[in-house]
Order: sequence, then structure tokens, then C-alpha cells
Amino acid sequence: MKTVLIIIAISIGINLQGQILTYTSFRTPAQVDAAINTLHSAYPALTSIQTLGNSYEGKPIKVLRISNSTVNDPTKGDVVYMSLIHAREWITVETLLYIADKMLAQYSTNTQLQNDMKRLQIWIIPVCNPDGYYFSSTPDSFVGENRRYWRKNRKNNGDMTYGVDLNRNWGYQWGLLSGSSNMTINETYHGTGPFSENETQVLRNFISGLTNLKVLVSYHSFSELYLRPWAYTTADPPGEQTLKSIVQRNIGLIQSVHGLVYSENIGYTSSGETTDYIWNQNRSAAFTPELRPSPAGSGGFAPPPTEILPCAEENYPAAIALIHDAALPHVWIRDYTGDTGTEPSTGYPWESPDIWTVPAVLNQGATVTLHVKVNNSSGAPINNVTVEAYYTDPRITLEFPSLTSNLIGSQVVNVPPSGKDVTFSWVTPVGTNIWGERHWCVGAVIKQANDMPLTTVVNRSSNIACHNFNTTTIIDDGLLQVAATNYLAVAAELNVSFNQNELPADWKLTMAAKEELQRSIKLTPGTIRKSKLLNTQGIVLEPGQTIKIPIKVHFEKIPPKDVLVRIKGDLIPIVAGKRVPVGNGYTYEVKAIK
Amino acid sequence: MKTKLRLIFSICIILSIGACHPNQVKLKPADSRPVQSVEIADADEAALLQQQLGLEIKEVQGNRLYYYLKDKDQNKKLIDLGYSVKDENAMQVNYKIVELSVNGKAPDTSKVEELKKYGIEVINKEENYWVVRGSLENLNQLQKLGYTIKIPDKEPRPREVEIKVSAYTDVQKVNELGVDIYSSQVSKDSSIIIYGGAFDSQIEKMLGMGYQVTKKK
Repeated sequence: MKTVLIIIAISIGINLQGQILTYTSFRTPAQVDAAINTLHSAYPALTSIQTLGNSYEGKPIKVLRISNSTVNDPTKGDVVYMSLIHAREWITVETLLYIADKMLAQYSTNTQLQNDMKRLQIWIIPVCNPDGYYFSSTPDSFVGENRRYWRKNRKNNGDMTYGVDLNRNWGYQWGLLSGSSNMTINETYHGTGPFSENETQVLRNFISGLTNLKVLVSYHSFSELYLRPWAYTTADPPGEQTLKSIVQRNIGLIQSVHGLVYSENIGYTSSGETTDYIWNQNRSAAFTPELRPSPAGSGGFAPPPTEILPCAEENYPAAIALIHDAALPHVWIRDYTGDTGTEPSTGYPWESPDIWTVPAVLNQGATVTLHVKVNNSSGAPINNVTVEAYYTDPRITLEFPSLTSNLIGSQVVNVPPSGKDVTFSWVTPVGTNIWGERHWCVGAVIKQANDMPLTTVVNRSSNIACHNFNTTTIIDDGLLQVAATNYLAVAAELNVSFNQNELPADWKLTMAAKEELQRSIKLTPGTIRKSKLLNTQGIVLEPGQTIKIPIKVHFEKIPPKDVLVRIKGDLIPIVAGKRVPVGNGYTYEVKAIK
Repeated sequence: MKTKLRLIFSICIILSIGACHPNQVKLKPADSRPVQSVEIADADEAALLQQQLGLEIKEVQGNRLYYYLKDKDQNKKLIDLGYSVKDENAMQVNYKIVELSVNGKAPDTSKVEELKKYGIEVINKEENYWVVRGSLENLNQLQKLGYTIKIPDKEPRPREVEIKVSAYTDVQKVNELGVDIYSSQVSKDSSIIIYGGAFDSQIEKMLGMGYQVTKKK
């Protein structure tokens, strides 16, 4: 009788969760394949399976796509979860399967998930390193081989060694010996070049093809950590405050399940790592959870199977929270008049009508009131919303926070359904900005436990907005001054454009020839070669370099009202692969005089 | 005429025996294509050369990119872009991991300096041989000096170790040696215990740095 009751209890326990897979032992590669087929068979209207490409040994790298339809929809946001990039980290596969399984099981009754899936597609890649996984899960052929602890892929390096560490083979900061090895025999061998491996090429190409990557999580084990970029250095990345907030929220969610407190630091650097590439390339949030067990002892890659379920359970809420972050537009700020919260927004994203100052014209050292209007589209009050306000020199930066932005203040407020006007007292900086004006770009970031910004780029998140607006008086043939700084970590080309088609017919804006502007910029031989390789057309700037660009304004007659001149600068990094432009714009309200 | 032919035949036999000593392994590059190199600024440039010119990278070592020569046209493009192309000796830029012994025994520790002189890195020290890494040219030189080289049946693996260090900055130093760090944790006496996998060469370096290293297996 006792036995029967226990069996019933176990089966009820499983059914209460609603999942269709079991989590009592580690799956073989074939069983993982069968598991994603099982999920697809059970939820054919919500899932599809695709092969992204093949490994070195020709094994397929598969992805399970979850959304409210089975067809790839580039208008939706993309959330990528991947695991087993290191062959021995088997618990990561089980955890990711659990997340997919439970999400699908809850979909029919969870309206929040249903709403999320209208806006998102979730990509689950359980085995990023199929060759390594296969090798790790086959019995040792001689004593001491220790296949179970195999980490790399199975590339034949041609010198009697095998394998490249796929989490040291990505293209950003690849090859640093402080965080990887150039010795083929070492477990952190970074490969012959950036993206030298089939597996990383397949993953990079897949991610580059996504139109709206919101967040990527690469599960690893072990040590119970939740890591964020940068991995290659201990220095903070741009947007550190945003990434840190998300990590701390997720650590709290993990703790809420079984009480385990994941840490934030691993204590050493890794170069050519996945999440560094994603954050640098896309400014899409990217995280590396290091799962159970705790760092004690050396047996962590092969924990007892009883660890699987609690590990998966405690990581589920954090995974779902990121999905909500990516989908929910509950608290938001407009990027421009007419913005409805769509991500990415169009229009001129530096003209937020939800950010303004009183008085509107800033005098240096004056105390002004900065207003940030937080909108609430949930229909109910939303409490504990953090509102951060920043200012920065209005050079090229459409990111908040960034390495060049300064915090004006931070407040935690409750936002009623009608929205809330949050005010900050701000003593404006004394002195001028880069081109001698007392003008500053003001940005705001809003965070809430169920709705965090997953990027720092203004137009890609409804949680971030900025206002970059100035008034000026111009006489005929006078100059508008524009300054741009390459704040990226790599050289970039700058393309400047303005809204000629919106100006009065007799208005003509001209700027100096590119060659003339380029002459004032000193470039390294490496940057010159790289620019030639890409046949760049814009003005090339080294990291940190600033260029001032005078724009001559010519008009025949004085217009009846002030003219809005919108100048936009795009910085395009000089790198291989997808080149994602970043930049900012600047609007002058020009009073014309003769 | 017959005698002359016999003589030539005999000479050929002698020469071929002499050229292929039964105890010597004939080492040659895994890929027979010519290798060239150019200086690059960073990894981004390597990726761009791969993407834009289709350069087949053999490896990147520091600021030197080694590639397999495709054709003259590719080299012309490189030169036009401002690169200085260098021919490489395939025997010097190709490496191998081998088992090294002398008269069926592991080399004497006094041989370490001699091996260093030939750019050989000792990876693991087994009872009857050492696992070493060297360029093909240097490994061939060792054979001429009387060392016996054997191609390993299986790839050498690191040994499981526990490393005791005093600060987190030491964890990074261990990482920079290429040690496979599984995890690290603070122990009761406030020192940090690193669990990982290390080859003998790495273990020796760590001991030299004053760290306490315990082999698990």
C-alpha cells in the first residue's frame, strides 16, 4: 500500500508540473534528440525543429523554436537559450529541456506566456557541441582517458591533439592569452582563429540572422554563478548597471525556489567568449549561468542525477523573467511623438517628448527640474519602478547607460495606469561640451522586476529614451557644429546624414568632403588595412577619437517659422560579420536670420 | 653492364636503408600546402582577412597570422592592401605532440635544458617517456641526437589537481597558465582551493609560483 501511494504521489507530482519529459537521469545525445522530438510531437502548433548546421564531425546542431506559430517571424523579438557548448556540462542540457518542457506545458493556461509568444520566438539550442557531447558520453577506451570530463569539440588539430574550446572561439577579444590558450593540448585552446570552428560559425550565423535578438543565455556548469559580460576583462562593460540589475533580479529568483544563492563573479577571465561577443556586437543582454552543483570538490561536472530537477526548477523563473522582459511593454517611455512602444522604434529616437527640463534652456551650473514621464500600459498600478536619469555630451551615443553617461539621479516610484511624471533636481554642468556649447543629451532608463531593459540602445527598448535637442540662431552661410566620438571598443566608420527632404526648398546643407575630414584623423596601420579590406565609405575613427564636423547652412529667404534640422550619425564598427550600426542624432531648432 | 647494374642497385638499397632508420619516425606536416604569414593588428583583422579575401588561416600567434597559400592572386591582393607577405618553412611552423624517450626510458631531468634549447616543451612526465611538443624540425633534430620519438596512441590528458592559493588574483594567474579550472572556492582558512586539470608542465610552474598542488589521481 505504501509503495502504491508513493508511486501515485510521484506521478501526481510530475503531472502537477505538467511536463512530459522526466528528469531522473542524464540523457545520451540520442535521448536528447528524442526529447526535443517528443516536445515537438506534443506541441506541434507551438514548436518547430530546425537544423542550424553541422559540427566538425557532421552532426546536426538543432534548435527547437517555440512561439504561438510555427513559422519564423522576423517581426518578433528573439530569445535564445543555449547549452552544452562545453561537452562535459550535461546538467545544462537537462535544465534547458526542462525550461522548454515547462514553458510549453504552462502555455495553455498562462495568459502572460500567451501574450509573450505573440511578440517573441524562443530558440532552444540544447546541444551546441554535439561531437564533444557524444565523445563525453561514450565509455573510455583506455584507463586515464577521462572522456566524461571532455570539454572541447573534437576537431583534429593535426598535431595529435583534438578539440577547440568553443567558448573561447568567438570573435570579440579572441586570442587573449589572459583568458584562453594558444596551445592545442590545453582545454582552453582558442582555435586557429576567431570563429575557426564549424560549431561557432553555425551559432554566429544563426544569431546574425535574427532580426531582433533581445537576450541570449548560454548555460554552463558548475559552481552556482550568474555571470554577465565582460568575461575577457574585469573592467565594466557599457551598460554595466543594466546588466547587473538583471543578474541580481535573476539571482533573487533562483534563490526563491530552493534557497541557493548564486554568486556573480567567477574570479578569472575568458576571452573569445559567447556573451562578450553578443553584448559587443548586438548590445543584446547575454548571460552565463553556471549551474549546480556548488564549487566544492572536483566532481561537479558529473553530479548525481538527483541534482537535475532542483537545478532546473530553480532556473526556470529566471528564464521566464527574461522572456517577460523581452515581451512586456508595461512601463515605457516614448522615443518620439507618436511612439507606441514598439521595439525597435522608428522615427527620430532622440526626440523623446517624455523627457524635458524646466526651464527648457540650460544655463551652466543652473538648478533645473528634469522631468521623465513614465507610461503604464498594463491597466493597473505598477509599483517599485526604478527611474534612472543620465546626461551625456551629445556626441554619438544612443545608449543609456553608457561609459560616457553620468547619473543625474535614481528614484523608485509607483506608477498608476495614467502614468507618472518623475522629477529630478539637476545642477547642470559648469563648462562646455565637446564643441563649446552648454548643451547636454539627457537619457532615462526605467526598470521594474517584471520589465527590465535588455539593451542600452535607445530605440531598441521602450524602457529607454533620450532627448537631444537644442535651439540656435543661424545667419545665411553660417555653420552648425556636429561632433562625434567613436565610443566603441573597435575602430568604426562614421556616416553623417541630415533631413534635407524635410527642409524648406531653398535650404541647402553642405559639409566638407569626407577626404578632407579624414585628414584630421590619425589612424593606425591596422585600421587602415581593415578599412581597405571592407572598402569603407565613411570617416574612419579609432576608438575614443572625436571629430568635429561643421555643416554649412545656406538659405535664400527667412522662413516663417523656426526650422528643425535633424542630423544623424551612424557609427559602423569595422569588424567581420554583421556590422550593427550604432549612433545618435541631434535636432537643432534653427532660427534663421539674414 | 650487368655488374654495373648490380652495383647501382646495391647502392640504392644501402641508401634507402640509411635514409629510413627503423627507430626514427618520419615527421611531416599534416597539411602539405605552402604556409605564408603576414603581420596583423588584432583578431578582428584576422577575421576580416578570412571573410574578405578567403584566407585559410592555419593559426594566429600573437600578431602573426599564418595561412595556407591559395594562389598568387590572393598574395597580390594582400600586397596591394599593404601587407608584407613572408614565406614560412612548414617544418618550423607545424608542431606535434610526441612521446620522447632515451633507450626505452624517460629522459633524465638534466635533459630539460637541452630540450628547451630546441624549443621543446615538456607537457607530461610519464614513467617511461615524456610527452613533449615541438616543431617538426626540432623533433627531427632530437632524433638525430639519439632520442626516440613515438606518436602517442591517444591524446595526453591533464591530471586532476587541487591547487591552494591565497588570493583571487592567483586564480587568474593559474588561468593564464592554461590550467583547466573546474571551480574555485574559499576554504575555512580563507585560502582559495581551485579544482582543475593540469599537465605536469603547468603543475611545475604552479609549484614554482609557490602554490600548493595536490594530484588527485
